[in-house]
Amino acid sequence: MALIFLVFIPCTVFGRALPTLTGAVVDEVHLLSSPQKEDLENALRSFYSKTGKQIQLVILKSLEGDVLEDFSIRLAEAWKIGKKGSDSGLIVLISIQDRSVRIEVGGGLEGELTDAQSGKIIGLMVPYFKKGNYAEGIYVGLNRMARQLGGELKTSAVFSTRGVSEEKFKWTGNMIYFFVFLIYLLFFILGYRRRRGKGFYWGSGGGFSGGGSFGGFGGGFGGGGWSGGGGGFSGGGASGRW
Amino acid sequence: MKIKYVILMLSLLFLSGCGIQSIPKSKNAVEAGWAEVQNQYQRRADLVPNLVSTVKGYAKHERETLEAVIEARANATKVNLNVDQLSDANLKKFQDAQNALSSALSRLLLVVEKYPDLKANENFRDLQVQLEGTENRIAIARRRYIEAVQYYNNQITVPPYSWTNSLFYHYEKKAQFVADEPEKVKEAPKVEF
Repeated sequence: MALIFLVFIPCTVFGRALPTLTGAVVDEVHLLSSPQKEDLENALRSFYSKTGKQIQLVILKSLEGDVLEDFSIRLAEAWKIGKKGSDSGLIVLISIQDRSVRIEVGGGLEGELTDAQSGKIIGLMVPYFKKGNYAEGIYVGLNRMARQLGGELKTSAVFSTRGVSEEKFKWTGNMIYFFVFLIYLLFFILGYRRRRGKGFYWGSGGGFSGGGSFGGFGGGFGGGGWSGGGGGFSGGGASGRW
Repeated sequence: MKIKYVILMLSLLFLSGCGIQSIPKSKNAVEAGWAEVQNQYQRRADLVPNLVSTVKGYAKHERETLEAVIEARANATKVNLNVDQLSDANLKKFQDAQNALSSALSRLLLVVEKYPDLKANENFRDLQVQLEGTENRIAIARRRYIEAVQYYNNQITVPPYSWTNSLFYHYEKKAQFVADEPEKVKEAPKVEF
């Protein structure tokens, strides 16, 4: 009897495998286009070097049955985002298939970004996610977070035009996707059929407004020098679903 | 004379590898872990009066449920243990009191479902997020305490370190949380946006 339990315990203790920390943006599903990703990476890096507060974005395809909060704290404990001593790390975790998002706040930031405030930021992001506008939702959420932490995210054209006027950026956003689609079609017609398997990833939101990206294109950011600094977490933050 | 010094040095070296440092260190870790557990439970208790008064404004007919929460909170805050009182019986008492508060709170949150105005209230939503966050912190603090105690208990019961303990420290095992309970803590209410 005891043996049986011994066999089963590890299954419940070790949940989903952790992704590798490749940079400030870990995007397993290519939810962001590579210019968007690169832009955000740079913005998060400069935010980190200016304020000493490290924001990490993680986008997963699925939690594979793991509990969001359990996975999130395991990730936080393994990566140790934020500086040692000041515990100035923050993880934004999005799981597409589970339609869930969590903000994991490092011990030293809990005063500046309380659970209730984290919940409000999630409340800001979720309406975008519901419509499949992931990139905008992420942009809006991360920006609010950065402001809450007394800084600013310096994103360039790919993101910042979107912040100015909601209507405008939605339109330009759709135009971009339309052109991307046209180009893709062109490639397709020209006979790059071997790419078929990779194709677009529309996320679970589907439709054109989703954060599409090329499967095969785009050099990712190497992530040189981006790693956790020994920050501690004690479970602050908030979770939400859409 | 010289040989005595050599033996002394050697024995010190030997002992440092045998728990002379790591046993008190692991005891400190247990103390810190327990302080964190109490701190997070206290944090939850601190949320309750605010939650009760917010709910009261909307759900006047739920006096019984509200009173049960208030009473459970009062009982839970009465049970305070310092780290030297962590026997199995004491810890069970602590746990029972906190569990009573957990279930009173979950009953309250169930009742709240009947009041859409309350659920839409921003203050209440904030409180709910805070409560959810606190339950999460409690779960984490408990897990860390469990890990710290496990390490500490290994240090003082598994040879050869246990010999160091019985020679110098005479520490006793610390009580562990019971395994079936974390499920309850996990069932923190989710906020729908």
